Amino acid sequence: MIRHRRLIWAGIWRNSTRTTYTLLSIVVAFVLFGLLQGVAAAFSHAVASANLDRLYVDSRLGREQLPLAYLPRIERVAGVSAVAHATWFGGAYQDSKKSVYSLAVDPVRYFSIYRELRLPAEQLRKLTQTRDGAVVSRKTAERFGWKIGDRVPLISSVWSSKGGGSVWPFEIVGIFDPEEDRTSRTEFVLNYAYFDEARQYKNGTVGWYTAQAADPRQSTQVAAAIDALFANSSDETLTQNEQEKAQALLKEHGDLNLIVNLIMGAVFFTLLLLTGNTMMQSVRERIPEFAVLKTLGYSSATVTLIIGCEALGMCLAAALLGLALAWLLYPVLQVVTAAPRMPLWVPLAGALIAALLAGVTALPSAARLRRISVVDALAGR
Amino acid sequence: MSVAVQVEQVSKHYKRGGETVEVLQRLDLDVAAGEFIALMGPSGSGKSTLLNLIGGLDRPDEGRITVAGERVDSMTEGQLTRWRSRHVGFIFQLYNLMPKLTAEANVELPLMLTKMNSKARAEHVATALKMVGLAERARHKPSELSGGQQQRVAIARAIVADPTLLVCDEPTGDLDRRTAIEILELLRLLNRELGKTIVMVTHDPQAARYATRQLYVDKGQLCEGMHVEHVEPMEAQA
Repeated sequence: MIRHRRLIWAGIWRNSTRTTYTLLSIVVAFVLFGLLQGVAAAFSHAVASANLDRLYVDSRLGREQLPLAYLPRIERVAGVSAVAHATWFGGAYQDSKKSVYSLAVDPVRYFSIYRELRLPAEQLRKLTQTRDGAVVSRKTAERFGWKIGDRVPLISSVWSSKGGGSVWPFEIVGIFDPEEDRTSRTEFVLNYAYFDEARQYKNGTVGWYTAQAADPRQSTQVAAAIDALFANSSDETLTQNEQEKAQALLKEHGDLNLIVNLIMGAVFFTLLLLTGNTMMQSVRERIPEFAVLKTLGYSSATVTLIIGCEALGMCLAAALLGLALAWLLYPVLQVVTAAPRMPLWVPLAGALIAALLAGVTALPSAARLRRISVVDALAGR
Repeated sequence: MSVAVQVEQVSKHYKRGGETVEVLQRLDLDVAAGEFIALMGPSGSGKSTLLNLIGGLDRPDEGRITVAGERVDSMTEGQLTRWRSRHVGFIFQLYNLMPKLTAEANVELPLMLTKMNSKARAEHVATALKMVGLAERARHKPSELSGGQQQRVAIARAIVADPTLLVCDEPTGDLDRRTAIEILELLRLLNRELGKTIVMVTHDPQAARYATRQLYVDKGQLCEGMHVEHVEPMEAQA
């Protein structure tokens, strides 16, 4: 087919205005595909890569706090090897638009469970020794230009200090690097002891506990044992493994995969009609030209291949451009997905869909060309 | 002289609105190699149908058609397509060039089906365009050429693969008198100098005078030499 490239190229640009609009439609559709599927894939990956042996103990009432006194009781549950707790700080830097995902934790407990947030031991020690110390993810440090030793004021949308203000000053004492293939939203980690002592209310409570199950196969039983421990108390718990927790969080926003699939289904169906119509129209206008090609000795198979290559060239080029744009735009969505790069399968699937789209749209035109009578077509009948 | 085209007892009919139209009836025709014949006749007489059958674009309902020793009436669609690419050059009334391709790309089209490499193809194209006097317009698109020049490109395309037979359907029908003469002169040159066998359909008796033999088709039958003897040659009138 490489021999016929000039013919294919000329066919694509036979009506440049129509081709340009069709190409733009395909580009936009694949930008949308890349971004939406990328977001859905990032969330699915986060769920899939979640630890089954990491159990989240939340209040059964939703976002209510749990007593800190639960900590030793959870630790004593058979099958639990370690326990950490965290409290949502609700931080923002300089203004509320620059949010920073911040957690108040017991640093030693927290980083011993969340090993994927790699913090040098020295910096962890410094964090435990500095009451108003905090450690930040490298990305957050780069985002705001923070470095170790800086004092940064964080605005809490949830907690006021006993002094009455919502601005909490912290000293950056360390920078952690999350593992590349793990999705983590944690950006800023501060000392719970300092936070709990300084906050105005709900002292002696935590947002949730994280319990490490010694044996992942026993995590369901361990979760049930934890919930049983606090059943019929004023602060009942709901324990889920990390995967269930991630799924539950996603479900709060609806079934993302279903929404994405419905949107993309509608987009591709429209695109199929649009591109198919363009191809049909383009071929219909050129029937005398194809008849001439057949007269010159081009077989039906060759003409079909030429049509197929036109459709493939158009769909694939536009789709790749759209996917490239989506790839470039994807990091902007990192705030939502916490994933720095679009999963590789998304552009690959996009290219495959583009090829299928080309095949489906070229099929009716190719079938029509196979049926035409050269004599009638040349005579304009 | 050997026979280039042999048409024996050929019949062809079409169905039009439930009616059967007998276009050709047991028609016989022999065209010698190197001959230039003109097929004339009123509209609907069957001359274009005969041309399509000789050129392998259509198949007869009855009879035999042999071109350069090969039976074309019994070939399958695929065989006919391959046969046309090797043996027949087509020239149409409306040139039928690819509008988005340059003159040289248009001329190259039949060679794309051969095993020639790009260098050899370019040489053949250059020779064909030089032969029709359009070497300097090789990079022009059809829209940038006059009607006569477009027909010359079409002739170059028809001869570039060195076919046995040139089939011309009203090649001057869309041209002014002067340009028509140039095209007919070119066809005569191809016939005389290169020995190309040419079968040309025309309504124009003056154009028919350029052929070595004039045939008249009427109601699906062939009448040799009718109605054309009295016509003055075109160049005398131009």
